Amino acid sequence: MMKDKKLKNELYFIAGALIVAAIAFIIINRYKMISTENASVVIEVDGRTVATYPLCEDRIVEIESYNGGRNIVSIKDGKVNVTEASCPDKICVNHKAIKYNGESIICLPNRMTVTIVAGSSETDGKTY
Amino acid sequence: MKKRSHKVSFIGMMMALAFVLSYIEAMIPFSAGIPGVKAGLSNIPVMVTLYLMGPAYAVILSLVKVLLVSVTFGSMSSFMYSMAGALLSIVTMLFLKKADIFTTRGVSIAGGIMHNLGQLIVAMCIVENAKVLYYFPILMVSGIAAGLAIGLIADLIIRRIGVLLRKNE
Repeated sequence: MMKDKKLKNELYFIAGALIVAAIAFIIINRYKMISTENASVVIEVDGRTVATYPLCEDRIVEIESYNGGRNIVSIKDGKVNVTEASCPDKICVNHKAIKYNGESIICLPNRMTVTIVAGSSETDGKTY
Repeated sequence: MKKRSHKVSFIGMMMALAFVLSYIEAMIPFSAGIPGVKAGLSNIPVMVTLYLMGPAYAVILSLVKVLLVSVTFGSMSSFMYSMAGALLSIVTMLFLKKADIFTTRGVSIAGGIMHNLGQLIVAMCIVENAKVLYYFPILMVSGIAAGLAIGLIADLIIRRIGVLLRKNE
């Protein structure tokens, strides 16, 4: 095939990939902007929810994760951070603190995820 | 490159190179809090092998590379991600090369993207939720960038070594 034709194919391909990435980015960002006022922090291990805490209350919890693993999750000033973990790679510990709806910290070796979910906190039940 | 011994020594050299490049990459703390963002230096020998030795050798090199690197520097979980990424990437590159619609660069970019997608899919299966899709845009862009860089380097090497190989035939 001609070289020019190949270059064109490549440009289309890259443009297409970038557009898909941009659309995904926009969707994620919209989702992120939902208010976290009544949000809760959902902690899952191996696909099962093991704990839920309101985002507005500061606390430090220890999570027993997959296969005897251990993660320490800290909730402070509306931000969630993993401060300690038994996993080898420490990607979850090095991950920046999360504070927006839908954001999560994932520890793959321990199969643990911490996610901020808007509007499902315990304070939801209260009537104003 | 007709003699079997030539092929064996070439693939051995590429294997060693891939291994060393993986080691170098493991030493550089490149990922800034985002798992999976890597340059993929060890894919240079894979690309070179694909173009100079053919698909069978490239597949073998790619799989053995993952096995070696995981056993030496990684863990069981990192093996699964790397394997999924490598498989998806090498299969994509084989087909694209065969289809002859892209240059080396384009093939490498597609390989880079598929490498990241493969890892993302395994991550989704392991943590059993779609939250990892959060990383999709950044992994997509990093796949393109890494693929482009690797493709350009591999293209230079393929041209130069290709000339030498043909001379020795």
